[in-house]
Amino acid sequence: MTDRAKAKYRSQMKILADMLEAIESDGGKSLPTRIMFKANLSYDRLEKYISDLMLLGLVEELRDGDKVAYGLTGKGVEYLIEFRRVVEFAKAFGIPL
Amino acid sequence: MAPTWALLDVWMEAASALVGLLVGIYALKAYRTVRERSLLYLNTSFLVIGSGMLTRVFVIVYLVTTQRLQLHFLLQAANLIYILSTLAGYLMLALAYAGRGWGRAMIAAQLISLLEMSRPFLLFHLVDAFLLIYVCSNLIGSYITDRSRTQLLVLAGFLLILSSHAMPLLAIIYPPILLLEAAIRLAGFLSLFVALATVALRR
Repeated sequence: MTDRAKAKYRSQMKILADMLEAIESDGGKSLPTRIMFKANLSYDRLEKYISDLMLLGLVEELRDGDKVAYGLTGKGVEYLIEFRRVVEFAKAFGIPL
Repeated sequence: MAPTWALLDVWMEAASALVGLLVGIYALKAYRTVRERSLLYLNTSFLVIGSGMLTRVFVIVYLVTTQRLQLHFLLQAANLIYILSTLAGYLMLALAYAGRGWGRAMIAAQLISLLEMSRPFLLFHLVDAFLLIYVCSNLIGSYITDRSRTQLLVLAGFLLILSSHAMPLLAIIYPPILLLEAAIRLAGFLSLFVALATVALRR
């Protein structure tokens, strides 16, 4: 992989955190299309990562009739706080994530 | 038995070692959260440096408290462990920043050129200083970009640790300056501790 490609590469953990931040910025509950838009994901990748997040217990599916939304769980909120701390720690030591 | 104050530099080294271990443990926690390899290098480097320093502290305290100062080989072994662990730790730390091929090549080239020197005492401090200069140059680059308080604390910490390696070299000219080595290094580790506490306690 070239340096430029490396620079653009977003780790899976960063993608998951971006999705959690997208949900949090909508008040802890968000529609799939908004998560896609805010976390810059295709629909296929959104489906894959949403199921990963649910498996990890970080988000939960919220159904209202036909509409599906995703909400942050308590564990998801805690993970987001820890993720931000880690980003700050890594940044302090000059390691970009 | 030696009075407690006579072991002041040993206690300062112990405090530095504990801070080093704390940073290493937090870096491991950070690695587990984001799986970034550079954080694993950071974790390993601080654990190795902290363990090396702590080993030397234990040996010195043991020799002094049991009054077995005739056991020079133990002290020599502890010093050797300290020197090797510090070298390995700083090399690992430099690798955390040398994400690109040229960076690794540059470190290797400089180390090989330094290894040709015949004075091991100078060599140890020069290699450590070189590795820390490399780390500091990366941190200065990051600080110029982001200008955060924690970055400044970490940069100040590494600059102080780098300065502590200059003391044994300056002691060739003025021996009493050697006493400052442990104090300056402790100030550096305390700066890292404040940065760590700032991040870890943030909600």
